[in-house]
Amino acid sequence: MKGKWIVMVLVVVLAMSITPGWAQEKTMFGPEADLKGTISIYARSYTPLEPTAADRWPPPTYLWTIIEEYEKIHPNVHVKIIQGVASGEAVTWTQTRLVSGTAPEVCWGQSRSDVYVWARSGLLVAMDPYLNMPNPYIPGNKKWIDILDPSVIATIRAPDGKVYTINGDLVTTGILYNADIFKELGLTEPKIWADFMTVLGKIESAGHIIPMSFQGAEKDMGWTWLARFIYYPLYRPLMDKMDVIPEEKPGLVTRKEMALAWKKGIETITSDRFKTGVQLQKEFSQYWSPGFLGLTASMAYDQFVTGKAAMHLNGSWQIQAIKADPYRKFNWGMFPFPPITSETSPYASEPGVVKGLTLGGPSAGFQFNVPVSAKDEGLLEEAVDFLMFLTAPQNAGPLIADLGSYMPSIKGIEPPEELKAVFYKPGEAEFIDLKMLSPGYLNGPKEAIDLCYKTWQLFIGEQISTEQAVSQWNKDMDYIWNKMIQESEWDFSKYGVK
Amino acid sequence: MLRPFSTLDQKGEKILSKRDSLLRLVCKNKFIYISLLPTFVLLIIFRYYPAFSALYHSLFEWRGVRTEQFVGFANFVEMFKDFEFQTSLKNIAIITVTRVMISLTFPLLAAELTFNLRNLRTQYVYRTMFVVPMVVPVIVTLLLWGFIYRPDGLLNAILEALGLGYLCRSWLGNFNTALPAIIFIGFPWIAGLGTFAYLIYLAGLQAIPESLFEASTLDGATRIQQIFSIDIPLLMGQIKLILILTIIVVVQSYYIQLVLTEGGPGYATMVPGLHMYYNTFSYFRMGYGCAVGTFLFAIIFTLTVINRRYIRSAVEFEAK
Repeated sequence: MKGKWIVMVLVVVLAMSITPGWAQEKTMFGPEADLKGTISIYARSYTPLEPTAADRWPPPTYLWTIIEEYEKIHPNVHVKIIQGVASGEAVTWTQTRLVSGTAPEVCWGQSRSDVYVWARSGLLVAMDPYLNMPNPYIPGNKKWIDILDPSVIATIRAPDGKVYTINGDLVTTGILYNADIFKELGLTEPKIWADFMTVLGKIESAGHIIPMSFQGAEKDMGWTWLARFIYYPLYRPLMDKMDVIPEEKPGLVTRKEMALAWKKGIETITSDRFKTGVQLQKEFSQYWSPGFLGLTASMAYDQFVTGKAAMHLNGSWQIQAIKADPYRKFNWGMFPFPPITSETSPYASEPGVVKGLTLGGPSAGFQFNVPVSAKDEGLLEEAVDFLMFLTAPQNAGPLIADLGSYMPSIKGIEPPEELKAVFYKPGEAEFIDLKMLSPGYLNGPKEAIDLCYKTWQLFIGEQISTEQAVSQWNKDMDYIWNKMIQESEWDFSKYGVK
Repeated sequence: MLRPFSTLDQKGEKILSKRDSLLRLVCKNKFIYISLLPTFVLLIIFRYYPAFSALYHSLFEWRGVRTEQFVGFANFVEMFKDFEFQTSLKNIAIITVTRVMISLTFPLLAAELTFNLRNLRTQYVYRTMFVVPMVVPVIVTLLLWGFIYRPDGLLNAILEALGLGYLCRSWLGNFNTALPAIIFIGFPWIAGLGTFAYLIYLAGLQAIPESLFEASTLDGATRIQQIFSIDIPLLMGQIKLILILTIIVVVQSYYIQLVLTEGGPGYATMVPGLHMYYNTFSYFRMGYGCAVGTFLFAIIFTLTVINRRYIRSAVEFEAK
């Protein structure tokens, strides 16, 4: 009997010693998590740099502080920063690393183009399961996704419906202008396209200055922007007809909805609506820098900052540069791209319906992905945990402010004052990318975008006619959408489309 | 019946088989072979393996390491239907022909001028001056040319200053001038491969026996006649080498376009190498990129064979 009691006591003791281990779920993330190893981060614009005497404005440094704090919380984790990747080669560099399985565990990637390609090739970890967990670095947070902007999440969602990128900032664009020239010629900031053309015409007539420095040698910051500025107001009235898939975020015409619109014939390249946009680009191009097809973004900026051009299309990242640029001898200002209205085309809305246009959205510096190689190396939890720490407003806020180029997209972070002053004119600007991913040819794989761009160069450089360009774009669009529909396995049968 | 490793001849003496003699040769020169081993290993890893891998993957739909699907010759079929590739072939044909003409003339002219300088010291100075630009990184040279060609660049400034403002244009942004501008880069074409060609020609000229010049002078030949009757025929070995090297380098090359034009405007400066690079590293279409690479290899190989077989030199220089 005594022996039986001893056995029972031993069983109870043993059970008690084991139970806490079962009952207490292992903490995956947060300060209590048992994390270890070395992870590396390629932080693109947020990569910290030692200040030098040659700097015209202070370089970003705050990521060092964040890493230092993180390593205090997790002494067994070391975060290594990848330095020295040339920005022009960043995508190729990252892509090559991803393929070879040696990419940094946290790596920057352009969410709506490169990430789409990488995800399609199975090189990135989908973040959805983690986004639905609490972020332990934010007091009271129930789900990590709750602190991220829903419009941003809807915009960056890949065609397969998953989110691969953790986004923390937005980039904005506008037209920089020489305020002294505007004053001299008695001009004011144009609010609509028709006024914009008038302003450009007056500067042209003044004769001594290029109205607009526009670069056509590189697709980014030139054609890819222009296409969206032109087509958004022309297609905005069709938004209700396009924003029809209930499970896709209402208020945003997503890639899938664009594909459906194409298949249903709502968005067509051969329509007069589209051709109007083509003609307006041609009309606009008469005011651009001579030889603009040989002009790169930096050359176009140089023309503006040295006073040779009155206006210049650029983005929020240039604010620090233009403020400190020693070549600038004039006062400057910035206004959102004036939208096409019914005064110019019957396809556009009445003035006031569409606000001044700004681009970008979630295409800035805070776009971090986790490669599948992190999982293979046993560093997935470490990478995700670091991203949770990084996105906590107390860390992301100072990080974004330190760089001073982008708007925060994380809830609870105020934008830097100077950006607020330049870009956030209440009621005046409208973020295109948070409304509509237009036009279609900017949503396809990179090779298709490049094809369309080459056609644009041929058209705007007067090598082919409008009809030839439209015919080529139509072919390219068919290729883009059919490929995307097939790869994403989208089924539109319930919308009457095979 | 298997052949024995070694046999006896009719007199009963042991004759070494080929394998024995090879082994003995290897043992005898083992230090040389061991020294060569790292080179061969590195060659296999970094040259032969990627080349064979490209050949193999050109038959696949391949987007990196994780997905691949056998597609046979589909990539090649697509390549020949691709308008961009067709245009790039035309462009590379123009570039190759002009570059070959350039490397067969300008460096030879420079070598002849240097060779004919009477003063050896002056000859040395000129030779050094021609060789020094070789140390300037290619990218610096390209950026410099980019500055020359830009709309507000040096070339247009010179034209303006000469009262030829009507000729000013965006040299790399104009459909008619972009390709010629690319070809003109490096003028007077003595730097880079040109320097190499120059040195090869000069060395060839210096190796021509002096007695030939003396005999022809006695026969009343002028220097120009000597160039066409003695120099050029005796330099055919070098000319052939430069011809092959120029074709190999030019057909593969795309760095000028990558840095300066991205193949544009439109397709005006697109070349197969750049088309391959974009497809492989920007579009992730690695199988297709491998097909373009394989095609380029086939072109270069064919041209090299034709050159070796059908272009005969008067004097072949052989290692002794």
